[in-house]
Amino acid sequence: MTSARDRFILFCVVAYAVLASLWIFMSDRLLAMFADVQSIVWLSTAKGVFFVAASAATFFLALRAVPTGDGDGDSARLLEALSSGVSPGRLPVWLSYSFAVLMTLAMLALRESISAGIGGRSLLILFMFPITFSALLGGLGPGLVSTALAGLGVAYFSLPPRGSFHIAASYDLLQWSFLLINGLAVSILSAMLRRSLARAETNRRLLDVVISGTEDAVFVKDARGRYLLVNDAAAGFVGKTQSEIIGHDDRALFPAESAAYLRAMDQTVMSAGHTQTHEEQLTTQDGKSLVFLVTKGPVFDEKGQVAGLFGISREITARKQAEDEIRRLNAELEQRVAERTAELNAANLELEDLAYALAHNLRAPLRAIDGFAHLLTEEHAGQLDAEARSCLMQITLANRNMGALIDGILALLRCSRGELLRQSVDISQLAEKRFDDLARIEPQRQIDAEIAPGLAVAGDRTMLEIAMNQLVDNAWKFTRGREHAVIRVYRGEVDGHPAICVADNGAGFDMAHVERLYQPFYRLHRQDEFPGIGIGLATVRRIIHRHGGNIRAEGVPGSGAIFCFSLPSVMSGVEDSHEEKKHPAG
Amino acid sequence: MKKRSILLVEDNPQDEILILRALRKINLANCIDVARDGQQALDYLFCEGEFAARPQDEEPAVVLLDIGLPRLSGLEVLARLRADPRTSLIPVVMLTSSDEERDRLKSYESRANSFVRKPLDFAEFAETVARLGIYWLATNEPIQK
Repeated sequence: MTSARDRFILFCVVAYAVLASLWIFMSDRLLAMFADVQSIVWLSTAKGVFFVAASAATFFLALRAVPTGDGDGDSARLLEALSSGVSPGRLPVWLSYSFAVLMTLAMLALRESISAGIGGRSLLILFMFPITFSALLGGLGPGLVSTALAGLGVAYFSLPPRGSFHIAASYDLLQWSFLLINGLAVSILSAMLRRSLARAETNRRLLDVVISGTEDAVFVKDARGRYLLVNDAAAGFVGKTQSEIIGHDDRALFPAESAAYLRAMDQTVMSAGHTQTHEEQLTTQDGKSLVFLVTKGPVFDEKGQVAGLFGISREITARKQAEDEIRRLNAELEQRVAERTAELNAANLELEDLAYALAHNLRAPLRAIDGFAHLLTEEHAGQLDAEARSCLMQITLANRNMGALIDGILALLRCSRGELLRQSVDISQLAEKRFDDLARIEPQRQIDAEIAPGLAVAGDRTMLEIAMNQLVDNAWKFTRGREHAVIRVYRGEVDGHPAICVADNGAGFDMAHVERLYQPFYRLHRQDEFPGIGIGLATVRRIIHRHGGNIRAEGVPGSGAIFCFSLPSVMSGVEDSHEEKKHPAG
Repeated sequence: MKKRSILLVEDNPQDEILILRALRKINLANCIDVARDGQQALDYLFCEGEFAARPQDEEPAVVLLDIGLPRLSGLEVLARLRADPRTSLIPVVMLTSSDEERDRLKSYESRANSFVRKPLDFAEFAETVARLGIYWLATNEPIQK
């Protein structure tokens, strides 16, 4: 199927070929009427210039009118569909051509019938009537048909010598040429007029499709707020017909309050002089509350003054309600989460209080058991045999063990209670102090304690002291039996954060058990290897976690262990010297 | 010289036995009076109720006061003693299983003279009690009335 573009190009080429041939034929005939060579040369030049000018003008008009090609695809087809049936006074093609032919023939007949009355005058002006009509009704084609028919008919029937296409009188020939040129011009101008009308109509329809097709309210108001245009959607919102709205302002459509509000909004947009988008909440006359998302912009007159405004309103009431509902549900959910969290925290606290009270109250019976076992041993030893005394010894040992457990649990629980202070804590000093204490208790042990100076962190001094003591105690304990025990406290890293590390070359542990290290009462060593209750690292971890930090452990069985903990703000020491203080114990 | 005595306020009968035994070991057993709850302790010290017949001027040399007591807690007893001019100067030693910082702070704020934690180990416990007895009965110089 040929496109509108191809058809147009073909049409232009054919029309040009026909008209140019006609011109050559007729103009040469015209030249033949002149006898002197000088006139012929001069006219020939003028004729050439005219031809060039006319064809240049035709090219300009034709090229400008070339329709868009198929490259635009859908949009071109859409435009074609829209413009079909939009030409003003459009007739079927055969009808407009028939009209052109009939009108022209009628005019020929009319001219023949009055030829006696008009004397020798050719009166070719009469033919402009059918040509103009044909062109206006049918466009370029019928116009040209009418022109050609009139030209041929007049030349054959009317202009002497009759019965021949030859035109004898140069005056007649001139008139005849003008008829053709006028006819051609009228046809072209009519075609252009029709095209621009069709284009305007296409645009109007395009806009109309959008405006009447959209669910958004579209409207235009003049500067005083009276509606110039509303679409069906806009009319639907206020429950009136378009004709009831046009010419009225918002006071006729909305309750006074909403009308005043709209007027104020309109004024704002018009005085701002540019397009704005905002939300409007309106009450309709039947009491419905609607929310619109509105884009309003000024409409300017030819002098550039604001003459009114246009608006596109989308009803978002349901969306707004949904949003409000979501907000409400979110708030409710947050509150519920907060409540649950509070409940959970309260329950946790209660549980910890219970554990604390329990551990605490276990002390008294424990003391009693220990006390009375003691009394038996001390005061009734004579009546007891060796086995009885051994049993009492086991009771005392078990008691001591349970006492340590209770103290461990209490220490662990205490670490989750109470306020957490943020102080500058000198870890190096804490470590040194602990080593001194341990060395005093076990002066016989030879341990190299290498403590980097100036390890400062921010945290709760009491808790960090408990943690540090536990780590140093562990290092001390698990290097027992090592010939050359070395314990180091230094600055390291945990997950890229600066950390404090305590390393020893003691018993170490298997990395497979690394996570269980922190489980309360879980132990990696037998009591007869390394005595303990297994709650120290749980306490350390809880302290570090309460500070928002992390703890990592690395161990190699038989080679040693490293414990590193980071706190959110491990501060760098004031004097970050690399020189480590040798701190031999013993 | 008036009779110098110790008032032990202790609700746990086993602790009571163990404390009395420890004091008996150093021959102080007959200087001990025992109250078994907070209210009884106050009655004793203010010579009220069952102790109405007790002579007012026989103040104990020291009150060994547990904290976790029935009816009135040790801290409440302490506050009442300090609030009354008759008893505000009596030496009070908190003798308790608690190692809560809170209790310690409260005790000192209420002008307790000392805060002693009951050790779990009996030997240690006995020694602590004996030292307290000797100190407050023999070493410490009371106000001369």
